[in-house]
Amino acid sequence: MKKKFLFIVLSISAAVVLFSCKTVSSADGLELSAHPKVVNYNEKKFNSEFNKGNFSKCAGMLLSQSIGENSIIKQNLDIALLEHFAGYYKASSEIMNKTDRLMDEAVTKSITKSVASATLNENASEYAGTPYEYIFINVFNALNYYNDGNMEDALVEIRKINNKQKEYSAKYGEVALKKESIDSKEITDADIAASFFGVNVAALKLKSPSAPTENDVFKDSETARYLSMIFMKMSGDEGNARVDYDILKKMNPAFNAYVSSDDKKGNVSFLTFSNLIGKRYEQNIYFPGDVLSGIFTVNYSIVGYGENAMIMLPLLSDNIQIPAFRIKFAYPAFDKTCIEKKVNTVRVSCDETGEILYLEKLEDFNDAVAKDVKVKGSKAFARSVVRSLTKKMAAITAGTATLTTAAEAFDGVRKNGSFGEQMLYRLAYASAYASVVAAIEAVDVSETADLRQCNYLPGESNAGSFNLAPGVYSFTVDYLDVNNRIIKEDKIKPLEVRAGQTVLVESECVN
Amino acid sequence: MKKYVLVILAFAASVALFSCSSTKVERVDSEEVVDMDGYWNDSDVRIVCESLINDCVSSKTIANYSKVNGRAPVAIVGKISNDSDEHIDTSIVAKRFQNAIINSGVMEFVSDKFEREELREERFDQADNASEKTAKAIGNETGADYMLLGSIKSIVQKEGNKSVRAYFVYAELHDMESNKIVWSGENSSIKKIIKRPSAKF
Repeated sequence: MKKKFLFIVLSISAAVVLFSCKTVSSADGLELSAHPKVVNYNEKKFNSEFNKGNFSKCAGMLLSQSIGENSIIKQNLDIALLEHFAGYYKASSEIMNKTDRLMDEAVTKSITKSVASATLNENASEYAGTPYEYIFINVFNALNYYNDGNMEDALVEIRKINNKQKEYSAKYGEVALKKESIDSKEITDADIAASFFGVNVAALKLKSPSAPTENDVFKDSETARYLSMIFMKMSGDEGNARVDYDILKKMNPAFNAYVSSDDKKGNVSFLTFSNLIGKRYEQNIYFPGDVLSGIFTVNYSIVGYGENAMIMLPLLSDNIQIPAFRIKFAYPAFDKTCIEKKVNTVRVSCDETGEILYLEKLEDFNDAVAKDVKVKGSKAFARSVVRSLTKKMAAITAGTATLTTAAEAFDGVRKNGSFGEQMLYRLAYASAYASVVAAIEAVDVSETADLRQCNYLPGESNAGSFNLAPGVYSFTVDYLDVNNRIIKEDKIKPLEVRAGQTVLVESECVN
Repeated sequence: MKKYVLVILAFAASVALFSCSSTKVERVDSEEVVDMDGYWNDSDVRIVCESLINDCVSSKTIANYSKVNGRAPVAIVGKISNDSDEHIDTSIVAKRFQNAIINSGVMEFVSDKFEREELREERFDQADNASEKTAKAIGNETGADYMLLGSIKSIVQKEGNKSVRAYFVYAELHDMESNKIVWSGENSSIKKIIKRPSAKF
């Protein structure tokens, strides 16, 4: 009795500790006086404020949220970017510095992981950030420091980018293209399940997204290189500025990256961010509906058509029928062509000289998302297949046992019981049947693709520069739609241009 | 049985309450080396400054200056730039350096650029508002003979979950008139191997 009591106490304590510390406040550990005012989150209001460009209010709403520990990095990135666009540079820096270290640890684990577990749903695992977020966090943090007048710390961020390029981006490519080894026991379980369901695995594999190639691996960012080039020039490091220029030229040959150095003139370089990065979506494949040609029918029938087609297993002994079911496989997908683009062109005019400059496209951030999805798609599909087949098999087996047990328990009643007793049996059996249906369907409901990403990165960056005689100048940045209508006009406050020096101006239209 | 259930519930509640909410604080000696995460920390400041300060105060050039001019040289703290890949407050290094050298008596220091602005503002205020006897004279500042400049750089190597961080700290005394570098010190003794966990429970 004592041992049993002790066991119960220890089990409950462990469960309480495990589950009671799972959520954290988004504002935990932050110097709140530097951040926008925390307000209760309301989805409708959030979207309304975002569309109006009130990024500080949006950040304040996200700060009020409690989130799972696994989502800290994603939440922090969202808040930090909103704060950046709202001009809360110190606040944004605080979160970005904290998140950079978290990503550093998470990324280290992801590239040293040797065997993956397919049964763990990706959405339940810690969000480590994507390779491009790992670089962009330092791009925007560099801009945080620069806009706050702290060139030295801005250069620290640039050095971090360069270190990450060297140490992580190269390694990530190897890991991303390497064939993933899933736990061998899980593969065996999935093979057994596939054989039971009569799945032609070869036909199912044809439905898989194609495996990634070297070209699909995100390695570098044009915006990061441009920023590095500009900041190196500003700090007098012409050597490293030249290296960045050469790399940028190779990455984006169409972009005129040249920033001239002139003893008599000063340079004003513009870096703008427009539109919002696209979001990945979930692509589903259903068996048998989407893989009809792959079935080796094994004594069961198919009911329904298309993606709603279901497997109906033969009756068990005592006329017990397992509910009809289908098997869902899910993986992340991305379609760049479906993304709404409000801003088509960015134009800068110098108020004093009347000079007009159409900024060239520097980077399409959606390319990074497309690459990330391409790299992860086929592996996510393979894991989904293993996971779904195994879990569905387990649910069917458990359901069979439940219904058989229910039938056997009331065997006598079923055959010889009174009307009342038989009604009770039918109710009990119906309840058991409903729970089996729910358990089998729950496998599909829980099978979801990992669509997590930072939502507030911009869709594009544009850049260009003016060479001007020393003096004070004002500029206007116009964001134009496809019909050349001005969506947003950003008036840049007067800035001083000095001979032989470069000034960087950042502007955005992401809402 | 009821008693047992109550005990279990009470225990579970106390575990939840104390396992997620208590903060532990332990005071340690300021000289104790505590490395939490592998980045630049207070122990690194202490190690670097001790070595550079010892090197500086035993410099022959500074000793000669006193002999030739009959007084200790006057220095001003210039920029200790952060050329590393992490955010470091270099003012801590500069202040520590300055304090140690002043206390050694080998050199004297005058206020840096920002401190001077404040002092000048106060003197102008005194000129307008303080008594003639007590107001401090304008135009009587001590010019520095040397400026202390320096930098902190880092080299990082990374492989899997292991990384090596090496720091290089440089300090120099520049003659204010001739631009000659009269003393140069280097410390490259800070090198750390950091191993991050590759699996999480």
